[in-house]
Amino acid sequence: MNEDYLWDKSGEADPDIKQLEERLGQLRFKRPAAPLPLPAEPSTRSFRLSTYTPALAIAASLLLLILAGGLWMSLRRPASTEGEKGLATGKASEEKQTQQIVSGPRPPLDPVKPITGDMAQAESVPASASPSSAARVNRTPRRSTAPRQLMARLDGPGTESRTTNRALAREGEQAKAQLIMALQITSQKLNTVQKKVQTHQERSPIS
Amino acid sequence: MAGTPSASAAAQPALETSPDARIVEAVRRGDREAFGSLYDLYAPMVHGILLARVPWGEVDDLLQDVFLVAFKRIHTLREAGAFGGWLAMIARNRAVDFHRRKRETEELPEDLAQRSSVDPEAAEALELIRTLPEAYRETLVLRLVEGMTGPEIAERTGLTPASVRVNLHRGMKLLREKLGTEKEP
Repeated sequence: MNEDYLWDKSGEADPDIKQLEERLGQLRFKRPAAPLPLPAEPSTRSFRLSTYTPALAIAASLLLLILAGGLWMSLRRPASTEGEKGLATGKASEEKQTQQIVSGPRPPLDPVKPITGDMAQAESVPASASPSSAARVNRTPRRSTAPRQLMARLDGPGTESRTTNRALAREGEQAKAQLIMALQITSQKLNTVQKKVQTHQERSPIS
Repeated sequence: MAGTPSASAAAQPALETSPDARIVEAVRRGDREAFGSLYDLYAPMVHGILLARVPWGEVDDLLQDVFLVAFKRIHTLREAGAFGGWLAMIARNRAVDFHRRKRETEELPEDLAQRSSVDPEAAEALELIRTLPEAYRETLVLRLVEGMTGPEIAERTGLTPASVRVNLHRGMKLLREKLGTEKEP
């Protein structure tokens, strides 16, 4: 076989190839008399979905995150308002209780006395106290208020902040749960978008 | 070597400033006559690619479709110098699409038009070429039917000259075997 002739028609012609060329030559392209019917203008739209898929996916995820954030904020606001109300109510009732304690029989404890190991001695009835007051001290209400006061003393000025912390923690838990839910919704939406993009790519016939 | 980075880096400006690239840029600017030049240059290649895959009677219509698609989508072509390879891909996809649609609609027998209007010997030779693997089939049709030389096939389709040479040689060897004209070495 003459490879040169097959490659660029140079050199001596191979008879088999020549015969095939003659036979098959009748199927060769012949320019039609009518010109190619072109549309008015070539499409100037250079948009290709496959090219912009990553950008679209990022934009969609950002949009969904913003929507999820907005949803979370709108859900969070009423919850925090309720929390603040509850906190305020709690504070009011606590103040009321404190007032009751103050207006009631004053316990023989020194409110600013630091807690020490011999607290039991400090709580003992002073010798100068009258028997009636001692009896009053030993009455039942003391049992109910003493632990509270002890707790108040232990907590000191941090009681309020601890309550606030607890409320904040509760609020945080709620927010976390809402955020997780929003992220789940976002992830589902992203999956849907990806599936749609894949389907569209598979359906487009010509690249 | 075509695959090395230095070669491809050097080939890039060559692609962008090739005559074809300039014609493609002219078409993009709205020059319709320039598209006529592209049609004249590339119609035999598209014709050959389609003829290697679809019945002869369908080729002319599909060829028009391919060029219409190319005209509509020419703005999506990233490298103007790669027009040939891009157009060849459109033609191959169009042929695949034709067979997909044909299966769905079950039209007339594939070679009906061919049988009625083509020389039986030519039709037989073409049928034999169509039994070859795709790469050989396309290159052989471009060489034997369209009369293009190996370098021309490489230039138009975007394939490397080495690939075209190998495809021509191996395809011709297989065709000879099928024709029963294989010569002893």
